[in-house]
Amino acid sequence: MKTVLFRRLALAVFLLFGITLMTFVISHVVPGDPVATMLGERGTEAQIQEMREKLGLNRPLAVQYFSYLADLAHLDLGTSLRTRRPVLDDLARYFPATIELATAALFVALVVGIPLGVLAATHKDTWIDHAARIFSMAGVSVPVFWLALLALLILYGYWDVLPPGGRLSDFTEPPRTRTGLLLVDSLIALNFTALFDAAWHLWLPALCLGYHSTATLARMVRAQMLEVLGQEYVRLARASGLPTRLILYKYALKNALIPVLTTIGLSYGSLLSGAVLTETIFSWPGLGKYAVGSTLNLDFPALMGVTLLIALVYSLVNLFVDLAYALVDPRVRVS
Amino acid sequence: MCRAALSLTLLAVLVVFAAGCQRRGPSPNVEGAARDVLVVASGIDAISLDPAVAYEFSSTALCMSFYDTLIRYENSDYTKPLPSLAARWKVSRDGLVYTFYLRPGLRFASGRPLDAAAVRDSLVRTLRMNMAPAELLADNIAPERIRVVDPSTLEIRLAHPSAYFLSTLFNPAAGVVDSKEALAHEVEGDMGSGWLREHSAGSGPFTLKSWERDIAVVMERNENYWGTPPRLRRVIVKDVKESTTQKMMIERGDVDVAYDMNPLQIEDAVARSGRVRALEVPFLRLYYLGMNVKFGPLSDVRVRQAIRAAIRYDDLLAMGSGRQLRLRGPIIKGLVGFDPRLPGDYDPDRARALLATAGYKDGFDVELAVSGGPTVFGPTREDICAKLQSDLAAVGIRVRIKTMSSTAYLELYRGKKTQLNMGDWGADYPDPHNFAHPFGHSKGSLTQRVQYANLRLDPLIDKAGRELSPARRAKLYAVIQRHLMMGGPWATLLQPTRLLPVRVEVQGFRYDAQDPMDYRTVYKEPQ
Repeated sequence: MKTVLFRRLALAVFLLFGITLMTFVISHVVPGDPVATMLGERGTEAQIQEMREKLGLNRPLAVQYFSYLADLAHLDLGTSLRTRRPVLDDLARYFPATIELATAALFVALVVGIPLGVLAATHKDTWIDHAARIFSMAGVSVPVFWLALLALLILYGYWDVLPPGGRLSDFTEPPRTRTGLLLVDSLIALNFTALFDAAWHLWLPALCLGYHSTATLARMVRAQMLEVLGQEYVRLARASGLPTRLILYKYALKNALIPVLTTIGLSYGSLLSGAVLTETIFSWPGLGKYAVGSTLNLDFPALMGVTLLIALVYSLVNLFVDLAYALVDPRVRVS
Repeated sequence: MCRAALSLTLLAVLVVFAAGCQRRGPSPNVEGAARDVLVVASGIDAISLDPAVAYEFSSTALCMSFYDTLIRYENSDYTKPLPSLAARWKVSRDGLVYTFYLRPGLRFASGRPLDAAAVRDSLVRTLRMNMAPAELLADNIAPERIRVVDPSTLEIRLAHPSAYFLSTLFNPAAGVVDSKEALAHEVEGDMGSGWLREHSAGSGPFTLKSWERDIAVVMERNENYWGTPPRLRRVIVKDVKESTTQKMMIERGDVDVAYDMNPLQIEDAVARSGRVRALEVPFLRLYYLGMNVKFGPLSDVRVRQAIRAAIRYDDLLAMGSGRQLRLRGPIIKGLVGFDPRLPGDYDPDRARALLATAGYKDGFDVELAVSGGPTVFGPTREDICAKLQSDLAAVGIRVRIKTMSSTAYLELYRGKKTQLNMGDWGADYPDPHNFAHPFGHSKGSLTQRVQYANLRLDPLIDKAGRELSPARRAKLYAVIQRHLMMGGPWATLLQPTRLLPVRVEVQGFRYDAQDPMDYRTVYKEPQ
């Protein structure tokens, strides 16, 4: 187990190194000059040159890259060209909002997706199965920005049951920042007004963001459940007269969920990194919004920071999934 | 045990979420709880709120609330500078020496006195930092030419007479910063710029309470303000980039003003909600078609004239809100020199004849570069380009539209590599020089990008910039614009008019195109 862990962590280091190289090269060869963007349409050539020199952007690309790596070794991700703050500070400020949103979206996906998959499998080829299929197909094919705008129009514009965006209402006193996760900070501060307000703001973006994962999970669980339910040990359990609930949830679902774990892990990784559109539409101050702002301004250090963080998250989530396999499946542990 | 704990946690989470999901009732913003709080929705593109650095739309607009200038203009009337920090001023006969007499008892929000030395230090700070805004001042002012006569008198000596000097002072670049406060937060010789990025140290009607990027800027009334105190206690500028969201928010009353809705959305909001009205306000901006004179056919003046004659300007004016103004030169309405009588009508027969004379009877292929995105008057830039493409096709010019990101477009344009390009230009300071120079002078920022130089125009533009008599200036600008519209590299398309949606409760909004977030006189009155 320890060897596996060590090997995976060593691989992650190589992966991150490769990602820094790729991101660095790509972000520096795309057309556009970050300094010209920073100084705007009116910035003079002299000002552009001066700023480029000040930021070290006139050095050869290789020198810039190795200088970046040297700083990275000291956990210095550089200074954002847009916010002019250390990228690490920016990530620490933006990432908790994304973690909160992605976790809520995953929660929605688990709470809705797994039961829906089980229901569809146990009621195969009935109207329940068909309805679940339509729901899932829509989930994987509807673009998230369209869904978000539509949900906003209906739930905020017409029915007025959910807010239009942001993390808190303008007139709610926010709790003191401890973790950056508003729900947690509100609970720590016992600020229930902020807690309910934060939850209220979280609902809509979480539903929209989580819909795709819900649909994927439902389909995956259905397929796995159907496979498991057709196996001999389930038939034996049925023949032995065990209650259906016990067969479904104790014997079938547990086994069906093992491959689903990978999907859950990947979903969480993609939710953490792919909330760009959702965050823009719901004015959610998370990593996605930071990434968009950085991209539009060709903010190289910030882009590198975001990419590295996402890569790290993916690596860690995958590692946890592999470890979770070992926990839930004794055969993996043995091998 | 484990299962019970899991179930309880799940239940608790569901309860928290369900408790949040309930019908809201009227917005607290409309309910009276927030009568002295104005909530505004705007896509905030600001990088820094240090006035020596601020150059984007939202940062300059916000800075005007935190920092006062020596003079100001009101109600978009740019012919008459009004007192602000300076109670009065005197100009020497030769137009070279400006003496400003400050109001007595001025103080920064911090309580520190604001005297002539503070104004000098602030101007010098902007000039020494030499960021983009410094350019606006550096044309007229040098640090060594600013002199403190006494604590309430400041003298600025210009290198040459300047008709636009006073108007350059109505810009955050000339906003007076409490330099002592800024320097107290200096890090590695940054003159306090790092701290001022997210703090304010001015004397304006509001102070910056907080700026959480991508969330909101919160400003609070400056209790030490020298003028009539604002009636609003607090202004919250929410960073909402989606115009659809802004529309829903203003309809429901969650915001009082929305800055980024397009005219069609505004008209719909006004019609549907009954609680939103649209202010029709001027906009010191123009949209233009640029022609790079070093690109084959465009080097021929007859081809450039043909392109100007081939555009159906009336169709462009009817796009979007339909409130655009026709421009026959780069100087826009509201400024000295705007002249609606200049030639430049749509005349396709003349365009074809000019092309034939120039040897392009069968037309030619050309690329039109544009940075994609919406315009302030409704249609996207791509829509306008498509219209231009169709107009030019009618006389045989085959246009290929090249849409790109703003950064890529700027790089191409700066690199003088465009053939045709569509862009827009807004005033940094409300004076015709800010249009005549970039569009006409051989050292102008835009003329250089399209590689146009008419050395006969340079002295005229310089002279107009130094001419203190408005009547004589207007005559000079008429000549300059005639030259530009005959042989120049531009087709000036239109000047937009801005529609600004505000809730009916919002009163006393004296909108100014150069200070669009001037909330000094705003208050909310239930209707």
